[in-house]
Amino acid sequence: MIRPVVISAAVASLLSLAACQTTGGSTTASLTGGTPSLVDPLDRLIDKYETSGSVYEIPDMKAGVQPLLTSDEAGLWLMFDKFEATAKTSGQRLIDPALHNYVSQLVCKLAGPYCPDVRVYVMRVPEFNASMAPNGMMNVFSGLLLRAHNEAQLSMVIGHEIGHFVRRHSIQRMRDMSDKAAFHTFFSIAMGAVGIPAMSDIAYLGIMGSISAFSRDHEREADKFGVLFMRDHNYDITEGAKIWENLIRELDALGDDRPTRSFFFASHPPPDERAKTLNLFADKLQGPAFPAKDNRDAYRAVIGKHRHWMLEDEIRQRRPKRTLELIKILIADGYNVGELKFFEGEVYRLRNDKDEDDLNNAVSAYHEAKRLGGYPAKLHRSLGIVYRRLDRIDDARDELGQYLRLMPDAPDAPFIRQMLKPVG
Amino acid sequence: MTTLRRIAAIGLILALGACTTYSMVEATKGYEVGDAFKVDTPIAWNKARVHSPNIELWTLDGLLQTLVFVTGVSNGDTLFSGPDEKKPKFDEKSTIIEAKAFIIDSLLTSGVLEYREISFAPAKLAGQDGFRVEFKFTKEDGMERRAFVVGALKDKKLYAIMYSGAEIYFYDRAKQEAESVISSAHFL
Repeated sequence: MIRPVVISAAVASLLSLAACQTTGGSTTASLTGGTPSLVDPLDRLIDKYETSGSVYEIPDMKAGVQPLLTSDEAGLWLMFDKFEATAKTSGQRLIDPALHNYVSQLVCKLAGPYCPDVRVYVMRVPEFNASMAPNGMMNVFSGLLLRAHNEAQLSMVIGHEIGHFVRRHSIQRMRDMSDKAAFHTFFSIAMGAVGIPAMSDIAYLGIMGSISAFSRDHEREADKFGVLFMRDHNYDITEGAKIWENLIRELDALGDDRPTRSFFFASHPPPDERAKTLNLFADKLQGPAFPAKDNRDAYRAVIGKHRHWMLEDEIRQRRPKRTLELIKILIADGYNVGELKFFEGEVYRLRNDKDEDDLNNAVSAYHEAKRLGGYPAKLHRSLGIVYRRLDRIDDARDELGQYLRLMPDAPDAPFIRQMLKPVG
Repeated sequence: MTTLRRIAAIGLILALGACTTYSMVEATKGYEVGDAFKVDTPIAWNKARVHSPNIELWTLDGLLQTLVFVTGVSNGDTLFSGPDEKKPKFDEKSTIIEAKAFIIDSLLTSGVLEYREISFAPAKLAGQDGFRVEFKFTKEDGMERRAFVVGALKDKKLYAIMYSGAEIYFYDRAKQEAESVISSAHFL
């Protein structure tokens, strides 16, 4: 009998992987139960692209068509319909019309004829991620919107997710896992019968590694689609690599705290591999005459209004090394640096590591924010509190007083007035 | 299914059912909450057994109304215990503003997703100068909840009492009784 751990692992893998990526298909299979193909190598994919003249001609999945109710694929869709019902009323869902419309319209543009099949949910989750379910439910996390610098970078990730959908990767993965679980059952019985049941555990490890490798191939193919969608809409493909390079910098900043990665079981290619590959795509598909755009102004006009709470959410993750690196990356991008320096000060203030001289680092960052402008009035409150801790009583008084002048009716104004009494 | 498996399954169900244990707090005067407070309650509550040393939890309709007693958080402690290293730690040098931020950040790193502050004002807890913050929040289930916390700093420790309930019907249903408990509190 198949071991419970194998079943549990397979079910968990199915749920997590399917929720994280989307469907795919071959150039010949229909949505009527046909067997989707394996992934296309890059050159063949690009050949198809150049021959057809449009990325939308490559996938065979028909826009607007749903799987037959008797198929295993329909079962997968139904399962995700239930998840989607939960997403609709989730406390994490962001319903700001401008933000939702901006992301939805971008998804619609990239999805082309598949636009009516995709439904977008912008979720307040401070992590770098987006996901695509096989039934067309796409989740875009606020942590991704914070990290993307422009529309081209966001397009790369969204195009990647649409790639999973049009290639029906989830059903491929479900069938792959089902086949391998069945093989493992047969293999376990056979090995038990000949008296070497331990071989079953070795087979299990092999199967899990194989599932992960299959998944990595899907991720690679989805990256290619991301690039092709960008190309079709004249986005600067080099921006696709940058978002991964920046993520690598964030993870590297964790140093010894960086999560260990099991290459064997990893379902996604490593970020550095993805960045390198995307740069190769850019070289191949984007010559100097290509009218590349990144639409950063349009992106900033919408996302910039939400960046304050996104940064607050990031700080609440309590991973100061990574957050400081993220802020450094955003500062290099140059948009509203005063706001970013305020948050840099907040990271130092909340970490308050004496060995790192965090309180004085916070003071420096707050002062830089003051010099640059664009910071919130509560900077004066934070700076006053830091000065108080540093026993710089007069400076604390000045800053807290400035906060009260700017925010006389702030909810915490009575407390600030109380604080000023003993300070004086 | 064999008899042995049936017994194991029943045992598992019983064990899961026993994960949260409750006892009754009758309507009474002078009830001692941890080593922190003595309170009067005009109605009976269910007291849930929790694993946080600084927390005592009372409920009415399951978790639709809760009264959380914070019974003295010391320097370096988290509000809620657990393995999550990202939880904020209390600093004994905190001002009232920082103490309130510590409570809210602790909630936000423990399942609260959206937080909307309604008011924040000076208040007394058990005769000690402190604060009262009222807010609405949602968790992953999307249900809107309303809450208020009355807190104070005493002897370098943080003390607080928080009442929360589902916004529709449940919050109002026991708010007056919760206010009554809080206003009766005094330090042991």
